[in-house]
Amino acid sequence: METSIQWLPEIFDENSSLKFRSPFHTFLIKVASLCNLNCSYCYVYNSPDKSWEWKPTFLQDVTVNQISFRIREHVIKHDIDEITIIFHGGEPLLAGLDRLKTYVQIFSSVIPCKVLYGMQTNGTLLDKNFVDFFIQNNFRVGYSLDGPKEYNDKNRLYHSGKSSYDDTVRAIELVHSNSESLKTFGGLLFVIDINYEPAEILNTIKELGVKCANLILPDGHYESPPPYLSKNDLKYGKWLYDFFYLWYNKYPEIEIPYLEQIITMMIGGFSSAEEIGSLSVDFIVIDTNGDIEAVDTLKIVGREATSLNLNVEYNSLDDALKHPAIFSRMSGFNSLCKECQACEYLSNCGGGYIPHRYSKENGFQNTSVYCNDLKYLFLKMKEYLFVKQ
Amino acid sequence: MKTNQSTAVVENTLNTFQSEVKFNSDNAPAENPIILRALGRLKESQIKENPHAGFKNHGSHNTHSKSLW
Repeated sequence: METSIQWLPEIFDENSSLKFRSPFHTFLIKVASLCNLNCSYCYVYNSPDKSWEWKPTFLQDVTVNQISFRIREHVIKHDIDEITIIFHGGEPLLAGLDRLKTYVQIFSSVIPCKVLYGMQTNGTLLDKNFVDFFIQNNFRVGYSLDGPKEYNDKNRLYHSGKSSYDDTVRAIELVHSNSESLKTFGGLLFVIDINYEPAEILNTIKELGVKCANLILPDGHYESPPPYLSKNDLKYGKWLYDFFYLWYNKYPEIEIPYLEQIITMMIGGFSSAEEIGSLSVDFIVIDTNGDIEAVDTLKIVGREATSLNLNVEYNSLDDALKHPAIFSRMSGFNSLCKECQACEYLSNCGGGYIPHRYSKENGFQNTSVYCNDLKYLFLKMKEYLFVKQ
Repeated sequence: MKTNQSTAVVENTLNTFQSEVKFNSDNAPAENPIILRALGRLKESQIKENPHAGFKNHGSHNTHSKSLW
């Protein structure tokens, strides 16, 4: 399939990568192409890819039907017994309860296998009716909050400039108010800033009664590096290790999946997350207009990386499996650059997160823009947790 | 995004570190909840027959929905 971006190395072992191919099991569906917040770091609305401006504001019934039948086709062809559909945005709650109910009704009636539902939201619009809907349909819902109010307010504001902190906290408290609604709580997601104090973030998580919270590195790549990133001073690596050390010693009851995945990989296991490790990525993004995309965070690179020129109206999901943006992430280590393939931390890292590897010159054939920082983190964690051999 | 665990992937990515690794008992005692969870995930990782078995909850997730992990 034609693409101007270098997704694969010049010497790519197609045959040995075939065994890593997989059908899709998770479908991240964009149900709203707008957001009530204007987060400064947003990879959708504050990115070079402005396609949201012309995409339908909400997923239309006709598109939901097309998506459902494409998933049905995929499930039957590959004999899949369980899939996950994640409602995403923009802000998915903006779609409103009636639309969400319709989406679930269509997906559940058309797709001939077990369907599990999830959502990632800022929570500001959450009310009891949404919570009841989540309970009835066994949703798992993640909420985005960057720690204490002072930190959260740095980036996560309404378009008016007003803080969103209290509204998101109210949502988290609502979900934690009884055992049934708590079952729908998937966890908290926070974007780190190396100027934040790890203790303040962990204290906030603990005070909210949250048992699982995941950290996310700021988006960035070689053409648009993350804030404060410098090749030599390892600020991110040091911050991450400080965070790890404090969490490990004072807050071990809180699950921090990113760090726990790293530990699991260090003892021979695997990361189940796409941003670290190298297992096959078996998910696909479908936008409000039916466009099929590899991963939405590639919007930070630009439209040329996001668009696969595929749409559920004309293309099957198997068509997407043939695109290098997709199968490069189902190729084990074969699709990584030479430097990654030769790295001693390859099995801990897997080349890092794909958007972090982009440069104009080499496409995705680079180490992560966070490479040195990640190496530092791996080294320090190994030194702390394990006996030196 | 939660990822697929086929047998082939398991064979390819199991790293040599596993056979050499020993926890530092001072810093990483067996009763530490984080270590217990890591060992639990290791077991999940080693379930080869069903690519999606052993995960803690239902969902695959990408980075921006990874709190669903």
